[in-house]
Amino acid sequence: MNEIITLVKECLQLDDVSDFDQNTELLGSIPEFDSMAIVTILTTIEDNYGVMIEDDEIDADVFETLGTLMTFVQLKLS
Amino acid sequence: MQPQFIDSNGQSIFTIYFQVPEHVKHVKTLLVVPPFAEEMNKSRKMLSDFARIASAMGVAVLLVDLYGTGDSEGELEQATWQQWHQDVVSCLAWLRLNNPNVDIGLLGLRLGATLAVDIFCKNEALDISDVVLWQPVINGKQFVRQFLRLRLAASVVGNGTKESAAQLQHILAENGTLEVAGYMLNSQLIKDIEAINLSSVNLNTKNKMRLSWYEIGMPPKKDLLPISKKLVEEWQRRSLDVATFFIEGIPYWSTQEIATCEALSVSTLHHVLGLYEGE
Repeated sequence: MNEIITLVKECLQLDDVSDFDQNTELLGSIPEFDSMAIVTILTTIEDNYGVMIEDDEIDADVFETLGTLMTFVQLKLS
Repeated sequence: MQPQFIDSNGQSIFTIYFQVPEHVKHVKTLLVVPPFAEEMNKSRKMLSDFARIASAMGVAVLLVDLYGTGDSEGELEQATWQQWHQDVVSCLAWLRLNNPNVDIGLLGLRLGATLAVDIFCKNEALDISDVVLWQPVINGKQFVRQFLRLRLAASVVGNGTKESAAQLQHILAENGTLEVAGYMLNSQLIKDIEAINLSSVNLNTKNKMRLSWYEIGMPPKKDLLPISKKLVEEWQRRSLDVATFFIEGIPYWSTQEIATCEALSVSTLHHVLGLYEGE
């Protein structure tokens, strides 16, 4: 979870993520979380974890909360 | 700082030349091959900051807007990889004319790095002393996929139906062009970029060209990406002189807020000037 928080923090250039947890809402809640942010986050995940994300895996649900994002990454790595 | 248009096969290419001040020895010249689309916009400050520091230290810099980008002639819709090759070659010729006894190198950022390597491989006659690669794009196909994601992501964020990759391919086949995040891409350019992969370029040095590979990241990252290391090791096996550097910093070519990385400029210049060699 910490890795994901760090990833989101960096990609979005956020200052304070101290109260972030798996229920923190992303898409639609954090203003910086726009389509550019989605692309940056997906690219960073691909680069950092050496995985390839297919277009049909990209869905609004993945970016609902930090928890859903983390689950997505865990599934990719398994 | 000298802005001017350089002719490239009949097209006007906008450039800015950062010359070395009179009291400083002009040691080298670097031609900057820029990144693609939004990455170019976000990197402008980094590149002009670099050019300023470099010229003060004796390294003249030519910043280039490739055909169809920035203030150069043409629209992106008409740009091709071949035209961009020609742009760089024309600018190199201009530099050679104006800097007759100085070593000239290429500095490529992101897809510009990929282009720089491709140009170097395919132009035997070019006399290039250094090829500096900042965060190179290794896989053109993956790069295009990530770029096309901008359009997919926009449809995810919006409330309309999500477009599929197949739909985008269809639009491309029908119209010959595809609009992504305000950028009009033609199918030839997309094909050209997809065809490039640094893992399969025919890189061999006839002269003493020095290659350097730089990547930036934030902790806990402290080294090049595994795939980059693998490629560099392969090049080194082929007896290429490749130096690698990891610099702590923010990926300024993709951040929302404009960012720079002075450490990258300083490290690059130290290496290019050979300041710590033999230590």
